[in-house]
Amino acid sequence: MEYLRTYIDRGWWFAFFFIMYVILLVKVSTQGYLDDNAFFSIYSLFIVGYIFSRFILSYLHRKVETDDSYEPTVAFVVPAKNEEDNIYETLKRFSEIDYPLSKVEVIAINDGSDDGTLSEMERAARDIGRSVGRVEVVNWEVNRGKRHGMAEGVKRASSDIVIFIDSDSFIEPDCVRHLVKYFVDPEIGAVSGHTDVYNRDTNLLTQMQALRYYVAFKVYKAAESIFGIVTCCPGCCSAYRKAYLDEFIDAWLHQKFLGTECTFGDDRSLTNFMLRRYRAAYSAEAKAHTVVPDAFPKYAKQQLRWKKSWIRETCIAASFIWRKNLLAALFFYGYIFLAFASPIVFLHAMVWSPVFSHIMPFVYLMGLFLMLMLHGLYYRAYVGKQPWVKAVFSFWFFTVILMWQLPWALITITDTRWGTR
Amino acid sequence: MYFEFSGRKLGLLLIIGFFMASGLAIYTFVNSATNLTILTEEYLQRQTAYASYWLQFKLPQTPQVAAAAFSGTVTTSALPPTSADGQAYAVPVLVYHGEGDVGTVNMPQRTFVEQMRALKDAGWHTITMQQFTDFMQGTATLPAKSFLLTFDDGRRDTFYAMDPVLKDLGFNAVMFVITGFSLPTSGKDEPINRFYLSRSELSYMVQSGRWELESHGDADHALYDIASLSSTPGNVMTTPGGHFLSNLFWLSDQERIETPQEYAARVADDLDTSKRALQDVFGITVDSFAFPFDDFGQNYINYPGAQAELARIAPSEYSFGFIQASPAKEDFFNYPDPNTFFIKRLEPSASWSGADLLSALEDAGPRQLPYASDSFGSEWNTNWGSTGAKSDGSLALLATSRTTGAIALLSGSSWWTDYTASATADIGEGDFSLLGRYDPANDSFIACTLSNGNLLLQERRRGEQHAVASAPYTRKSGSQRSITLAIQGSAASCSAEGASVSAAVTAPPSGALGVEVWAPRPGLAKADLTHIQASKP
Repeated sequence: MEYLRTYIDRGWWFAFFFIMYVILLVKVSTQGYLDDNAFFSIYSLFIVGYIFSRFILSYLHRKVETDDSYEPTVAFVVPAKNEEDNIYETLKRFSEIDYPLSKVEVIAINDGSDDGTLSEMERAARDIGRSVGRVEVVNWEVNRGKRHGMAEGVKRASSDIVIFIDSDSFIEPDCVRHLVKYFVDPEIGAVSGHTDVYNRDTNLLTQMQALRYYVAFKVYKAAESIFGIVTCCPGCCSAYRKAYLDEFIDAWLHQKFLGTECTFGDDRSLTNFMLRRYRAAYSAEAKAHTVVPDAFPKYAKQQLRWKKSWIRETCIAASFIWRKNLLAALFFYGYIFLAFASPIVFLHAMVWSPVFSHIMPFVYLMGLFLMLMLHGLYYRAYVGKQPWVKAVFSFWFFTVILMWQLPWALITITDTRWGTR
Repeated sequence: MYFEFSGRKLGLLLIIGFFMASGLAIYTFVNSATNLTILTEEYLQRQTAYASYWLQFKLPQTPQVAAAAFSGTVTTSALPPTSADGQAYAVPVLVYHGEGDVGTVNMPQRTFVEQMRALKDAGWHTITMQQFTDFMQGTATLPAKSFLLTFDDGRRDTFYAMDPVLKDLGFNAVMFVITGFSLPTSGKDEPINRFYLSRSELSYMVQSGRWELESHGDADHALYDIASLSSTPGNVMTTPGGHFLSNLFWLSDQERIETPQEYAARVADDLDTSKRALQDVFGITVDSFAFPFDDFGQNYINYPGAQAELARIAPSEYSFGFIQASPAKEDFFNYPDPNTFFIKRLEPSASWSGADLLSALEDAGPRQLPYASDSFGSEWNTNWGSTGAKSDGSLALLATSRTTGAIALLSGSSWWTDYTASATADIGEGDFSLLGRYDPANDSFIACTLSNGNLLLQERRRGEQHAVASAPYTRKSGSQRSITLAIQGSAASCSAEGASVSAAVTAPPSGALGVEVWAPRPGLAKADLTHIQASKP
């Protein structure tokens, strides 16, 4: 039975490489038609080059061994607003981790909740207070925003490492050890953990996000991590070196972009501040789980916020990333081109060509689908039996729909309202 | 920073990379040998076309068909042949160009489907080029309601829109290919642009058995600047938009107009090139030529002799030259005759419904004797002047301001040989004639004419007309006159108003029945035909 399973697993990898081969085949065989237009031809080559490079680089990502002699003090910072359902569980898990609990500090910030969040925090503080080194619950009557909460946590923390955990995220016991192991290297200022989707089985939307999260971390972050340039250590589970944070925490807190104070994309922006002077890595073994939107309007709003902060922070990172590593910078700038070119390529393939040249978008849609299929097979091969085919189809669907958010985000970049949270 | 260059990982990457690279190399090799990419793309496009046809035209029918089957009221199509012996006496040829909503030569797929289904439902069926040839040669017969379906220009849109229809209805068709566009001799196996069918698409068409390929010229389906005959070196006056086959070209290297001999050689070479290109590439027999722009020399700019020259050159290269006919003016059916080179074609209009096309075919077509009518309609073609049915059912013949008379011909009668015909007319002004054995191609007929108190038996041969016999008759009051013409072999007789003449004549072996009115000056002649009948002698 075990023997058979090995072969089935190899089968998935074979399928993965077969899809890769088919993509190359399509590219080679359709290059003739694209030669006429440099823009589309460059896009076509770049997109394949970029995505394939992610898989190859992530494969070459080196594992770092845990070092039991290196046990710095850690502070969990959890800013929360109206999270009475999850906050207790989030905090409770800090007392169950595989780490010397005396070296653990927990700072929970109640950011003007109007539900039972504060009492849940206090209940959790009582329950874990005896086991961990220090617990502090900060209570703000009036909401100030996540960025203020994070900054407050950093300022109140007295540990070497600050770990941000979202109020709807849960960490696994060995998460901390796998996060702190990277800080042995003094160049490292931030480490992103690996976050999977907690409510994966709710519906197709969350299944699709589970696929996206998995590949975004396992492949894309790992590929960035190779150069120590992870461009976003997300708020759901990331560790930062407190000593380095202190250097710029106030500047970050009052960051302005195009004249307005930045109200979201706090994690990406904090990573950016860190990357200017230090490096950031990704730890695939530091596992956490987070709750994702299960309804489309909420998901779309979240994606729009992410895209706005992506545009903002990419502009900023673009100014210094070339000094870090030339190859990584090349991929970074290449990706900017791809992100903005994709709606144009989409319009050209789906509208312009069918109407004016009578060329149906077979090749385009197939190419898009094959690319996502590649991600789907990777997911299937690693994660095991999942409704991955459905996830790939919805990934396909949402990619097409949400492609339009980027130009829209660019237009409305100065609108910094959250919409809803 | 966190690179792992272990031998295991790099080795695995190298092995996979090697397999991928060799896979791509194999593909490239196979593709260069077999055009795999193009074939795959064309295959996908065909399947899309079939699926699109099925979704648009088959699926909406399914509920009706199912309902009909359930209730037992399956409508059977009309019984095919209506002729006594179930044989076709003449064959219509239809010509279409492209698919689309715009342009005068395009037709939307929906309309084409409707027209073809109407023909299919009424019992019409397509024939092959070989069947058509045998029929024209008189070596084989065809069942009634046979027609030849043709398409000009070798366009991609035509193929992908029309092939599913042919496949569905069990029809086949002839595609007249412009070899200079679809099979350019540039060394590449690609058409000059994707508007035209490629070599591999044409090859598929041949193999499908639904399509036959014939020639639509090589370089002659393009427009040229035509120099005027008075051009001299250094002063070449040109008219744009001229046709290859109908004009003398300016030889720029020798700075002169080409001679008729050089014209003949150029035209013969083009006709031969397109024929050989199709034969060599697809291993088929090509024996028909469709004149580009429907110009067989009549639309010349600088060479009035083009039409006569083409009528001499083209038959030496091809058995048939396909042209277009106007259904209002002439009988567009093709009657068996081994000497026929020009094949008439009807181009159905995009504004015609299926019923319109059906009546265009069934109102025309070969007629049987005896024939009698006193209510006239579209079966009477205007050959000259102005003719048309009046509200009382009679047929008005009127000279126009530019003609001295008018002629109407009965469509479907051109194959009649020996017959006796009588006509009754209300003569307003001029001479009234009953015409027999009318052959428009040779401008020949036999006429029986009432002219100023004389009854004339006339003969017209290639435009030359003269009386072979005459007799005076007594004029009565009133304008109502009856006239009878009998032709049997080379014997003709004519009688009216108590007078009668007969003589031996030289006339075409067969020809249409017609009526004519004539006066010496334009715009005067007029008559109303109220009754006509014809029967075997």
